[in-house]
Amino acid sequence: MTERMLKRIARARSASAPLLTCGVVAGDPYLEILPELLEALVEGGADVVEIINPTSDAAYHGTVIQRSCHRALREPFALHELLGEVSRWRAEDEETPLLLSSYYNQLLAPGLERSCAAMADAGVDAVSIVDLPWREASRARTHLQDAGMVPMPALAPTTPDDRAEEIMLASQEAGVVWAGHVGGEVNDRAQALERLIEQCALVPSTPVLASLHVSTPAEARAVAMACHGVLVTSSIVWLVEGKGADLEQRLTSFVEGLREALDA
Amino acid sequence: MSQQQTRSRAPGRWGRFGGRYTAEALWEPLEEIARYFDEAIADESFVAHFHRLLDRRVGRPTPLSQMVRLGEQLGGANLWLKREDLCQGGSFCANLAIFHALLAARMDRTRLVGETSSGDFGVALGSAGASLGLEVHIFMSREDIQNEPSRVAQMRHLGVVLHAVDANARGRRLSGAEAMRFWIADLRHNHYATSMLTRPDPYPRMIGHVLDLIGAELRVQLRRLEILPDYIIAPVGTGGFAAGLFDAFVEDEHTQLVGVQAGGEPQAGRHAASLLSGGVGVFQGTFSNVLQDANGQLLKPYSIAGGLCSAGVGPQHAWWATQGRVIYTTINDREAIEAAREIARTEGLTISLESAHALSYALKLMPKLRPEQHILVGISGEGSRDLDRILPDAEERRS
Repeated sequence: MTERMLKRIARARSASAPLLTCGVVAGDPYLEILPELLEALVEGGADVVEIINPTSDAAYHGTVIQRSCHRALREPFALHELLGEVSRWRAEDEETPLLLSSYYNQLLAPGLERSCAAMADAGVDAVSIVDLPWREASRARTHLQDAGMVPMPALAPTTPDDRAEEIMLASQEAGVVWAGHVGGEVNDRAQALERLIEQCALVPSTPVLASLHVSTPAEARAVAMACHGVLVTSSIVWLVEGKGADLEQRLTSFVEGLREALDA
Repeated sequence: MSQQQTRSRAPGRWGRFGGRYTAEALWEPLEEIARYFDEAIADESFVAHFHRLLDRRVGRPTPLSQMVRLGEQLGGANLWLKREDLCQGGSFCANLAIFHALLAARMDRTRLVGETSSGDFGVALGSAGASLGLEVHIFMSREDIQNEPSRVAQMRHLGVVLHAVDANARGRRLSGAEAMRFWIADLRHNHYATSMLTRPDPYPRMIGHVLDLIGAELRVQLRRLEILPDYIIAPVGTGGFAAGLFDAFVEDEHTQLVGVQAGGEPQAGRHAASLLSGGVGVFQGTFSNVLQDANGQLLKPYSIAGGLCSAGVGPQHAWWATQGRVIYTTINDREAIEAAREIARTEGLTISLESAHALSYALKLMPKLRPEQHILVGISGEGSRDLDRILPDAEERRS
């Protein structure tokens, strides 16, 4: 696990404060603004920041992220261009861990090993590959770990206990697990939360971040209480969509609201 | 049988192709379908029921028709058609739809959820679902709905719940994604019934297994006629129909297998030739050939034939292409339309534009072969839905 991620998780645990991870889609509204958006999230109180690498086929994301990807790809860019902006941000912020989420094909296209090395060089700490389930991911996990990054596998409400345990045991020393919802939309939040609590109890030492379509500070708190932290992206991306100027300020104040709820 | 020999390693893999690349949330539901599928095909009573329905409802066996006048006109080889256009509903999709409906009933599901582009599979699933008392939900892009009014009317007639999906192109890419999201929202009642080979395991092997019956039946028919085909030609969209036709002949050294993809509009650079112009990658849950740019973003496929309008192709085709066992080529829109007109004029048959792609390649080949040689073309469906695109004044009327 990267030092940055390790320290941040340890800090959150010692303070008994849930980890707040906030994300944006790279390229929305345009690629060069990415460092400023990440900075705005950190200023609002995000412990970890997430970048979604946009895809033309965001089949497993909800409509907000799908539309955001579509906007981002109106001016297509390569992974190395995205990572150029990450490097620019990393030069100013050496502390905040960065999670990069991508569909597998966007990492395969430049070559998986090359993509992993480039992400690590740019300062990415953890990688979540949306359409790469645990049983298909051994090659990618090896490359990510060899490059010094944290592979972030997913749990879903449909993941049975035996596989959830396998994933969490493998991730307790060198990873963080993301508990996500199903196919882009949450069907039954109460049921999903209940399942999340059951899964977290299987291997309590593994850090679990969850994202159950959180759109308010109260929802963020409810999710974070069920695990070790919350991952909020689509509600933040929604603030980017056609809302005019003062974007950075809007993101910062939304994240501040989440932070306050988590620390209350 | 032969599929087992040409597939390597794990189930759902053809060499390095195939697999189950999905969100974690879908792994277990797909695993459950795989289990039910494996059990169903090992259950003699299930298989017997399926074959009974193929016989009494779908209309199997479908004929093998010789095109005598076309043969005389073009000289050279003998031309034969495997007539899946004569299946109930007018396409090979009826075979698969019945299987999905039986599997859904076995799993105690009450809804079939699928997607369609040409409308053929939507009609087939609507029909199969109605016959077993299952609700049928079909997802279709607005562009496809606009282009296939007769199939849309048929689906409505059959009681299908049609979901329009906003997409600025033909094809099942977005409607397929929406169908899967609808499926996963209620796993207790929904069964995902797709005809796309570009799907995570178990779908490519399930579709291949079911449609293998076409090739196996053809093999028996050819043996009775004492014909050893020199060429077997089939249209390839995601490739389900072609896989069903080819698989029984993969081990036959004598027979050259040819898959025809959509060449579209060559001058405009619009096509759906993923095996000739695409690269390998993960698309819609499987590792195979796909039309993509250098950054791994999908490129928009195009064909006048909705069923061929696919950015990706099934993993078995990527494997066969790598092995060189099947030759893949393209036929463009204009050539396909010409072939559809030619067979209507000469033999009195109305075939779909998908099938006309394969026929066009055969018509080019025939004069170059000897009179004792045989070409077999797979006709995937009938073409009444395509008349607005085939008739000589079609372009004028459309504008």
